[in-house]
This record gives sequence, structure tokens and C-alpha cells, in this order.
Amino acid sequence: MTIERARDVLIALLRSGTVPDGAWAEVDVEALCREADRHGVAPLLAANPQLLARAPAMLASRLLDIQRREVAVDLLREQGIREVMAAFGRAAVPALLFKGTQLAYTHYPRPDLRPRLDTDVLIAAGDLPRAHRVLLALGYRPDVQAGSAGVLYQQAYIRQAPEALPHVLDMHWRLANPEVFGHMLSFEELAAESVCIHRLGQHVRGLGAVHALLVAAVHRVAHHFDDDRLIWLYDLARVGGGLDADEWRRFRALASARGVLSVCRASLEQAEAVCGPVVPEACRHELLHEPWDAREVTAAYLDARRPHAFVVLDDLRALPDWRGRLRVVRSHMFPPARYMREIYAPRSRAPVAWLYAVRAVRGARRWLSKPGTAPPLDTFDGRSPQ
Amino acid sequence: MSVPFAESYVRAPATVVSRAVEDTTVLLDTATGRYFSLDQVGTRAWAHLTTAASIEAAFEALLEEFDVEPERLREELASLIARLASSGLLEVRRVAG
Repeated sequence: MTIERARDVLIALLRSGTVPDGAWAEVDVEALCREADRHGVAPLLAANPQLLARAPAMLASRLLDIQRREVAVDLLREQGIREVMAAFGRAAVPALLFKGTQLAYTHYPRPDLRPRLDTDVLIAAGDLPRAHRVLLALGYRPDVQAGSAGVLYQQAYIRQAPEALPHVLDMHWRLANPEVFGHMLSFEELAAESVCIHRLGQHVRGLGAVHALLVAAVHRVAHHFDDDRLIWLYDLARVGGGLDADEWRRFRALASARGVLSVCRASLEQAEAVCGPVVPEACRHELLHEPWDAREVTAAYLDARRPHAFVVLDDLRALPDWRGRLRVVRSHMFPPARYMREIYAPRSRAPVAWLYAVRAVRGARRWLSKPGTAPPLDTFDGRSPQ
Repeated sequence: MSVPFAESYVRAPATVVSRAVEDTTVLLDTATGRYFSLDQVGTRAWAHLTTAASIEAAFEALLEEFDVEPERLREELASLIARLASSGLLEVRRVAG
């Protein structure tokens, strides 16, 4: 079973809970479960009783195994989220949950139905030192990552209990790392429209619905080059399905004003192809079909096969001054020494200068190749999809 | 382990969290990362056991809910409590006297 075929089967199962007559025979249960896991939709499939009743017993059993695992992981993660958000509250650090973490609580019947690898929290850049101290006091430690401030606007923290699974918290002080998306919405704008996430407590807040949709539409392109991961498209259908016509118009106006309309349009078209109609009839023409002057620099991210060097050039162009550009170039050429040691030579005593030279030689090929054929692992944050 | 139903009650330790999933329940010991799943009947037993004033009270409630012989229910409840307690998911305490 090819991964393309597995994806088609997953889409059919998500939409109708079954596959056409006779198609079960060609389903490779292990391959399908692997892809369901990779696409983040296994718990959604396991929550469909009709699907479990019709599917081969082995598939139903594997899906229920995954469901139990996701529930357990989520219970552990939820404890971490509650502790962190309460500690931020006590330290007067305004913080917003966003991306998969927020949607799990605001747009899914149970948070374990929305798998994710980490907890995404957004804070104001000025609160970084205090937030850092709060997390250290709770036992979290900063994870090693490729870039430094100036390229990455997020820092992963890990808390490892002695025997249990680690909780990974990704603290962001900007919505997206690429400069062309970086100023899409400020923390203050997002906080002004934020909503209470009642299921986690009165003090826990996430993005307003229009902002949540904008982030869902942009994230999969800005950080993952229009990746076809199903759960991200499912998120769009869930969030979009809760918007009224006025909110859709606000979404359209905001996307246009912030230069991400092409990206949002592409994301919604993909979501509709997988989940069925998302945009209401009253707004379809305006949002999906109306021509507009599409010279948005962000649209370049829809081309997944663009060499990485072009992406960096876009970032450099988006910066307002040469000081900032120099900082980005330096950060790409000379990532933090701890990162170089752990990634390139964890057991070697080779001097860091030598590791930079090795990286420069290897990196040149990657920078000019197409991301689809040689992922530039060391030039992004290195985290798996969430 | 023989537990006197009328003189004992059970509670989940502070490190154990649970979530209802359809008609089942997943229990997780956050201290160890070990997790367990209860079926439909186990879920009802867990709900009664962890809230009732005594195991006997939980037993009476389950007897009303399910069409089962009292002795069989008593045996199965004792067995469930023993398994959960040995896995650290339940603490058996004496009712204050």
C-alpha cells in the first residue's frame, strides 16, 4: 500500500467512516495505522463506532491501542499545561495557548482527539526572561536547537520525569519564524481578542476564533511548506465550521491586510478537498474565487520545492535593516556551539571551528537543493509536526 | 488480599488521573507513565469506588445497576480492587471509626 493510497483511504474513513465495498481487502493495517499516526488522525478514526464496527478486527484493535496511548499521553500533558499556565498566572506573565494545543481544547470533543507532540504557548517578547525563570523553577530545561534569537522566535523546553514521558513545551514570542510571516499579528492584537479555555480553567486563554483560523491556515505553509498532513486540514474545517459570516469576512479582510491571503486560500482549498465544504456559500466567491492582486511575498512558501537559499533570501529582504540581516546570516552560518556539538559530533572532541567547516560544505548542497529531495534539517527548528 | 468491604473505602492516589473515553476509562499514573484501560463495567466500578463512602456502598450501587449474582459481583470487585491497588492506581483505606 503506497502512502498516497493510504492517505486516500484515511480521507474516505474520515469522511464516511468506511471505504468502498471490497476495498478493505487491499488495506495493509500496519501501513494504514502508521500513516494515520503520521497524519495525526488515528484517534479521530478510533472515536467513530461505525468505522470500528465495519473495519477488519485487527485495524479496529490497533486504532483502539493508539487511542488508549493518546489518552494517556494527553492526561500527562494536560497536567503539565495546567501547572505551566497556573505558574505563568502567578508570575503575571500573560500567555496564550495556540495551534494544536488550543484547538484540542476549543474545537475537539476531547483533547486526546487532537494529537500533538508539544504544547505551544505564545508570550510577549518582553516577558521572555520571566517566562524562562518560571519554566526553570518548574523543572523544565531549554532544548538544544539550530538557530539563535534573530532566526528562531521560539524555544523548546523539556521536563523529564524520572520514569514517565517528557513534557515538551514550545514557547513562542512570535507566531512564525520566517520573517515574511513574523509580523502577521502581534501578541497584543492576539491577546485583545483572546478567549478563555474553560476546560483548562478561567485563567487559561487561547486565540479568538478568527485569529485561530488565520494561524491554522498559515502555520502549515509557513513552517511546513504546504504539507498535506490531514490533521492540519481537519483543524481548518473544525475552526472554520464555527465561524459566522461576519467572522469569515473579518478573516478575509485580515488575511488580505496582512499579506497572507494566497496562503489562506490554498489552505482552505486543501481543507475542502479533504473534509468537504468549509467556507459558507455567502463568502465563497469573495474568499476563494474573487481575483486579487496576488503579489504577496508569503505565497512563495506554497512552492515546497523551492531551494532553501531562496527562503533565506526572502527573510533577508523582509528585514528592515542591515543589522538584522547580518544577524540572520550569522545565525545561519554559525548556529550555537551546543547545537553543533550535539548534532554533528556528540562523541567527538573535534574543535567547533572544524564542525562549522564541515557544516558549511554539507550545507551548501542542501541550500541549493529542493527541500522535497533533501530536507534542510539543520536550518529549521528541527521539531516534528505537532 | 482480602478487603473488608464495610470497613474500607478506596481513593485514587494524587498521581493518578483518569479520562472517560466513550464507555471506557483510561487511568494514568503520572509518576510512572504507566496507563491502564477499564472496560464498560470496570468504568462503572471505578466511578462508584472512587466516590463512595465505603466499598460496601459501591458494591450496593453496582448491584442495583447490573443484573448479576451478589457473590459473583463481590468476587469480581475484590479482584479488581486488588489488581488496581497492586498497580498503584488505588489506595485502600480504613473507614474512620
